[in-house]
Amino acid sequence: MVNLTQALDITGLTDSGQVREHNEDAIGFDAADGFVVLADGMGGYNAGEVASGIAVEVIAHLLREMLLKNAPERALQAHGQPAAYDMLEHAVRQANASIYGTAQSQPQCAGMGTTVVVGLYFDNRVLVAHVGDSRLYRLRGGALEQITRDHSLLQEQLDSGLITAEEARHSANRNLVTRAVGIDPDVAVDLSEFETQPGDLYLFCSDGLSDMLEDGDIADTLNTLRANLPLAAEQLVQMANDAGGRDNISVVLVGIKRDYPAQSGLWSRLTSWLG
Amino acid sequence: MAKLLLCLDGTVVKEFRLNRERFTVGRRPTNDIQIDNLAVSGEHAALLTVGGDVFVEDLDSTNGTVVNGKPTKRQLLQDGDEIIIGKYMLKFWSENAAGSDAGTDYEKTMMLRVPPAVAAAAPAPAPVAAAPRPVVAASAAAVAASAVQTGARPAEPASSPGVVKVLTGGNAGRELMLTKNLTTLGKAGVQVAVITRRPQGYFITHVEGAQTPKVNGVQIGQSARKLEEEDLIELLGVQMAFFTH
Repeated sequence: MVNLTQALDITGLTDSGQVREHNEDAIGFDAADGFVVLADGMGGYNAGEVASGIAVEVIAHLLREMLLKNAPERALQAHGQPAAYDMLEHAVRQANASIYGTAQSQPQCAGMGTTVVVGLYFDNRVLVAHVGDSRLYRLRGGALEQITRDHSLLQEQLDSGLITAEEARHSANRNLVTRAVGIDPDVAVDLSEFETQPGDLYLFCSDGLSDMLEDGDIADTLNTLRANLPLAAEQLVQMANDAGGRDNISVVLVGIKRDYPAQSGLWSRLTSWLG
Repeated sequence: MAKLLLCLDGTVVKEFRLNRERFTVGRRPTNDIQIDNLAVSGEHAALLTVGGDVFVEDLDSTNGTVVNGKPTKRQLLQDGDEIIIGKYMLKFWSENAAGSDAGTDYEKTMMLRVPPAVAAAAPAPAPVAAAPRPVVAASAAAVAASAVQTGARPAEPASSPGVVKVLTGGNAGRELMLTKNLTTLGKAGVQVAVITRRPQGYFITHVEGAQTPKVNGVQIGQSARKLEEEDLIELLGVQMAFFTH
């Protein structure tokens, strides 16, 4: 199996914020396997924590297991797409089944669910799976771009021109998601693939960050502190807290240090003998 | 629930609660708010509630709908907005400002669902205006556990901006105004420190390099240090002083 620690710099931080007693966000990442999972749970009492916790556990566990058996870049005969597509979709749907099952059997967990954003880095690209309003941003050449589209009422209103971007900043509907993991027996997962370049910086975050800070402030912070990713993550969380910290705040940063092309079959077999 | 106060010449005539998704204003008696005045069109304007938001929409009225002095076709309303229709004024108050009558925590992430019967017929959520009434699936537990948020944003950082004055080296005498949230000092790849502006004041933190900066002769280590008036900063052999004007 390929180890990506030489190519990826990953750091993560989660904080309950200034208002909430619980932290219903959960994060997980593994630089060697090249994946990040971030989930923002919802539901009464501590059910939100249960949902996001299950999501991160199940997805991380399944990805590790699948990556041991299969190379993510290998094209599958069924549809010609890399195996990574099936891996991510399977992992998120399993998390959905597990949360839904728990919610059905545990009355105190009824109605719980979670957003999720997952990134799997392989072969100089990242495949992103997401459900809900947790986001992935990319900083490239100093410019910050949001590369996931929220599954939220507000995003739908923006898309259909019912609300302007300026009005959206004042909307009371920022917290309403139209899709979540664990609410229904099955879930539709959005998958999208992006080429990565050395020097790219990826930001996974929950809405506790993106609702409290302007994109411009996030970009300034990442540009200024990119030499020290743990400090950059800390600074983002602190800025969200300084702005009120009304929700849980989670941040995972992935810096691309160098190329990580998939090795040919023979070469990877050779190195695995040597390794 | 949001409400509208119908006012004429500065006096409140009547109060309306926006208890329906679509609330209409006009001269005809079929409207939810009927205003019997010739300057008001038969169907003049509508108020649309979408989740926690309320929009006002002009229904191609003859004399138009004006919000806070500006004519509008459609716009998101905010607390205290004044909608002028003819000689009348409608003052808008949202539920959040009116207090916690709903008891729902609107900051908390919640799932928005279409009713099951509709979901089966049209799984993809339709554009909002045409969509069936959305139901926020907040569990009873979520409502019970909710706490009312105080919406106040904390105050902006200290009004008098901080300044770093270079005391030694080639740039001696130069002053650096700390007007941004983050200001870096030093040389990339060698030694860099950042000064962050926060509501509590200014802080200096080590970013990169083997050495950490000194403040008043003491290495600051890896954690942030609050800067006080006339603190002496030393970085890459250059001495600087911190002031607030």
